Amino acid sequence: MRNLKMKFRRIELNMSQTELAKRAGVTRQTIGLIEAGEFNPSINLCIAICRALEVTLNDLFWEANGNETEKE
Amino acid sequence: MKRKKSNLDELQELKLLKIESRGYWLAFWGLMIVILAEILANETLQAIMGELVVFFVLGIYMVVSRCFAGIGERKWDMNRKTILIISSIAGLGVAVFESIFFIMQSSNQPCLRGTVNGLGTFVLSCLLCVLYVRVVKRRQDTLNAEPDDEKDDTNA
Repeated sequence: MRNLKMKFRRIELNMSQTELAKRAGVTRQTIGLIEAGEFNPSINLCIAICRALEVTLNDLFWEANGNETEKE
Repeated sequence: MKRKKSNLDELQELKLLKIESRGYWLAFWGLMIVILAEILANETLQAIMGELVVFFVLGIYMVVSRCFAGIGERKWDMNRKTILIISSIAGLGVAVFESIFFIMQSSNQPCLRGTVNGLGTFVLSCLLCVLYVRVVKRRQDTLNAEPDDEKDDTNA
């Protein structure tokens, strides 16, 4: 499942994947794969991404139901 | 084809990866020791061909996979100093081993021949390390190139 919330929040902040990766302490590739839903990050990385995007874990990673994130 | 669901949870998966990684290195170093022992035991090239092929396949697989994934060294910063240290260790190892080998063979000037081979290994190691660093860097630059957000995430 693609993480569109994360992608939209990043675009909202006018931030590139490279900038977000730098702030979260990972490579650009990792951010791309998380947004594409091809990599499940650890809780520590989720927290780092949330801090970089100034949101909570719930805002980016919680799914109340299966419809919130786009299914592949 | 539908992929079969794993019976393992995340922690078990990580542990299994670690076990498999240790298995790889055990095979790598074990084969290297066996090959060196066989050379010292004066085995013919044909006798150790199988071990040599598997050993080189293991090594080449590791290097090529890392280059392709753009993954460099985990802990070391591959700068000139590190490359010189790695190459020196390789050169010294070969010089000592070859000297022992030539002494056991009762060859002429065993230490000189060992040193020459060691120097050759040092130069070759330097060149290969520099090449490896450049290829990995180029691959990292390609993988870390910013994709266009408007497009789909195919460049993830």
